[in-house]
Amino acid sequence: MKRRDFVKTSAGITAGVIAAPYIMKANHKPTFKPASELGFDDDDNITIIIELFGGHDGLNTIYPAESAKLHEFREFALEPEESIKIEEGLGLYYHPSLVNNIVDDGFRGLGNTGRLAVIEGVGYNNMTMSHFRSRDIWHSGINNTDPKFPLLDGWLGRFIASKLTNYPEEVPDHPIAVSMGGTIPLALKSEKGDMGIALINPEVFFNQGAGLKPPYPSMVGDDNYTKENNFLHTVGLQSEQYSKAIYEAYQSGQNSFDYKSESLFEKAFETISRLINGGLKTKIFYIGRNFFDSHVMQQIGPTEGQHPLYLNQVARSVSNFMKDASNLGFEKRITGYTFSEFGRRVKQNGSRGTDHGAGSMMFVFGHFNNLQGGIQGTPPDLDVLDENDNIRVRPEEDFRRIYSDFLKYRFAATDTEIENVFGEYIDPYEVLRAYVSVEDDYIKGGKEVGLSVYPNPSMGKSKLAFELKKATNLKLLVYSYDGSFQKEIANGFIQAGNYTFDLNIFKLGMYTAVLIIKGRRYSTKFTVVR
Amino acid sequence: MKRRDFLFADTSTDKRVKDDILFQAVLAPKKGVLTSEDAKHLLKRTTYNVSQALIDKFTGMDVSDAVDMILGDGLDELPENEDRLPNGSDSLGWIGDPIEQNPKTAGDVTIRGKLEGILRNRFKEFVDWLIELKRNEVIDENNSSKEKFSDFLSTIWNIEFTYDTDEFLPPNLLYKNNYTLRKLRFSSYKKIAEEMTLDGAFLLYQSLNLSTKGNPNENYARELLELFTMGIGNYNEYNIREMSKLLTGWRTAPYKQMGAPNGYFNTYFVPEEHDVEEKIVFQKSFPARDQDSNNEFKVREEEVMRLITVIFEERADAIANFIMTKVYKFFVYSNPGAIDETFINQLATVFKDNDFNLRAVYKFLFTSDYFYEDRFRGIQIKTPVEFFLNLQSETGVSYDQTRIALLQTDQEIYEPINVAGWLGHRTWISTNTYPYRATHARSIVDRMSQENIFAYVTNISGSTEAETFINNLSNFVFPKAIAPDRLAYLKSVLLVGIEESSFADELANQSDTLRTNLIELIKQITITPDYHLT
Repeated sequence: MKRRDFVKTSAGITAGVIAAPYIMKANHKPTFKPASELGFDDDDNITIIIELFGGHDGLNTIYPAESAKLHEFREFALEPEESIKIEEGLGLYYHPSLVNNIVDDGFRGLGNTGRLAVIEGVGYNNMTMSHFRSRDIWHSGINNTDPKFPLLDGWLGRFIASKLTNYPEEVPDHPIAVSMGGTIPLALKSEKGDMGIALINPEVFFNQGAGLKPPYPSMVGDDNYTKENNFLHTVGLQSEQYSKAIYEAYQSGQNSFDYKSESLFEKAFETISRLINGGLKTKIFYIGRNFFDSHVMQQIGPTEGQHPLYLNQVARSVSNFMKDASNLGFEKRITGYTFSEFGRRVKQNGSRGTDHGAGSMMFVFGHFNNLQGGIQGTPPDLDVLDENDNIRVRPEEDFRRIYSDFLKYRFAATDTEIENVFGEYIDPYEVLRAYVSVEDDYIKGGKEVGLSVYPNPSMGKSKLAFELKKATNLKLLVYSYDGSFQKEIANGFIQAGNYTFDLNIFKLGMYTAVLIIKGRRYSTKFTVVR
Repeated sequence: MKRRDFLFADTSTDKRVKDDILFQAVLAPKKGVLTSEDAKHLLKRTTYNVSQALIDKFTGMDVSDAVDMILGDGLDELPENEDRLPNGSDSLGWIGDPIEQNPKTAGDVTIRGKLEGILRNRFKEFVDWLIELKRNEVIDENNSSKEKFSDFLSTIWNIEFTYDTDEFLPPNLLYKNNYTLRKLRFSSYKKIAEEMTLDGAFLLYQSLNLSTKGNPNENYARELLELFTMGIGNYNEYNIREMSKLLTGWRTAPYKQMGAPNGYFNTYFVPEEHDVEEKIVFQKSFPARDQDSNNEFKVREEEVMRLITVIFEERADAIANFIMTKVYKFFVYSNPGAIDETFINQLATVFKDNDFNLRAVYKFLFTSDYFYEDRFRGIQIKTPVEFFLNLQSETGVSYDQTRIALLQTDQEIYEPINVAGWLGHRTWISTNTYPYRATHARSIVDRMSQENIFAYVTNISGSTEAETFINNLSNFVFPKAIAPDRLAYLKSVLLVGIEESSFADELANQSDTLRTNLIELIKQITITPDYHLT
């Protein structure tokens, strides 16, 4: 009798019969290939995803420090003097934890060099204030708050799985995605299995991974026992294969400076940088941070309290990483973003904290070629809250639009592929774009010629001229040679056209006129003489 | 009189008999005796400590008697049955002993460090003690299963030792909480909700200890509904706000410096902090109260206890479905994509018809035909606790690094990732945790003494013949029979440098060769995917 005849096919055979042994695949050994041979675009883009779990209080990260309403609602809100004003205006300030004591002026530095975008008011329709459901929604990319509808896989998991058509016979030679920490987030899970691996320590992983590859093939069958068994089998296999690839990259890579990490979270960024430098071909790195659920004692001043503490860790980590990336020469490959399952209540609660909110903000960061920096979206409107006293979220600020951006611009996804990931086509937000130089886009003539001051030198009365190709918000400021602010010449939204502005600065000295458009700065010098 | 009232009002010992009659009328349980495979399946799902001897004991038992032995009479909560429950005061000398103050309030950094050190040490001792309880669990006529069923409740009512920003929950409160859940593991789920709402550990963990009128804190109210009883979609934000007001004023007393009106670690009430205005929850009015009725006794009865009653009355279906889904995932199959709504509805009916009694549900589940279907065998991925305790039970090793092993495989006891607890199913296994399982398993096997190693063999029947031994061993440690080539492989590991015909001699002489091979064999078993399934 053939072995196959013993295989049980019907359910409900009562005990007393030991179930027949299961069939194994003949010669099952997966083939490891580079991702570009498995349907992925042949680019070297890397995406860093940072989850701030618990409900990150965006309103205490980028906020209108001068707003009386803000201070009325929140005793703990910082004053303008304690906060760091954002150049672009809109009355918004950086929380000092984002800037102070961080390399290269932290997020202000990133912002000033076009490496940071703030997307305000992001969320989804009818946000739920359940951590777990909302988080699942952000990870799965499916906007469904009905608990009867289980969310079992992630947007990236589905995308990666759609590329790996011969999984698990053909798999990437390096892990496509790595979750720094012990668990695989829902975002990376798919029906086919986990599309990423978990990593804490490359050396430990390598030592422990040895010998875990099962010395026999996986099983054939559709039943749950076979599926769970094969899942374990694959993890054992991946542990051995990927721990080698990671170890090799870790040994050959290095950081350009010591991040002086004080937590595992910060250390993870150091590790990522070293792995990239060492040649690991992973495309996605995910890191999560807990502790943003600040119901109690959220903030006791600019540096003390749950919120400033963990926000500072995040800002430090990202800033260190970006500097390292720049030093090591792979900065051009990097984009990333932060997200959280929701923001927090506008009014504080009785424990000097805040309860769960709705819409919040996301940071998008990366090399300035990869994104349009600056404040985008709708800054929080404290006058018009929703029915739960939360910041309103507008339909166009759906978080999936940011994901769609990444799929389109960083993973070369087609519109059809985007539609397959979400079940419907999601219009990209367009914060990520192939970077178009502001000079070419807005100012006719290029950098130096574009802005001109005449007469120069002058005795005070002079004019600044430029031709604007596209309507935009802009600001025109004048600083003296020592960097101190002199005056604001213009601030607002203007149509395309030719413009001249009177400068009229009569104090002797050298000055710089700075035109700021979407976070990019254009400057030209002029002098006032006797 | 509703059937429910009748069962609830009757406190005689006939209650148990009435339960049996009730559910037997609802559906016919599995009849007949347990085969050895059935016994193995039942025991592996209800206790961590399964030996071949225990399986043999249950083989041939009538299923109803077998389940009655595992569940006991379910009356551990009665004061007269107190001695059935493990008492920590011998091993944990600090049970009744509060530290001076909350370390965070100590101005001096040295004092703070010292106090935190005390709490951390107590926590380690407490966890080690819990692990020891699981190792020592015995199931027989006098001892029902305690650990898995208490652990099940702990996976719903999650608490973290380290919470908020570096706050430590005094282990004395964790001990009390754990004791309560163990005591009530076969009781009414309603009762559990009542006790947990005013439990000291929860008052601290979910910020109720800070909740005052005028500034109520929503943390516990939300989790009570979302995580502990009914799940999202069954309440609105208004209910949460009203419940937060209702639950104001309760405090616990874990520190010497803070006074303890009802004794240390016991909950007490502060009338001035309580919101006495009317509250409306699930459309039921909790009337405003005056000074005279704003006291601990009345507020507990008329507001807190009544709140639980209202919740269970107004949302009975939602609660039954939610909790029975958890029972299903824990005891049958944890895959969130494979929830069998039909069977869960049956469990929910039993649950509601028995006034939310858990023993009735378990009796129904473990005597049903459904539970013993072949498709449910071997499909549960072992939790880390299960994995390490099974192995220690099988090898006879008491692994003092179990707490660390659990930390590294993502099931640190009383330090779940967050208040929703562990997601379970495949999230237990990653390229990070699977290697740690293997590494610690190797350490456990390496600690087997000569006696342990050869007892491992003799505990398996038919052990003098290599072929029989491997077959029976495989049937014991794995949930389902494995393919012949894999059996052959294991046999080859056993017989490195040994003729099959001389196996019996090698065994009798406890030869070094056989000893080495056995160690290797057991290690190989621990990195076999099947061994991680139950």
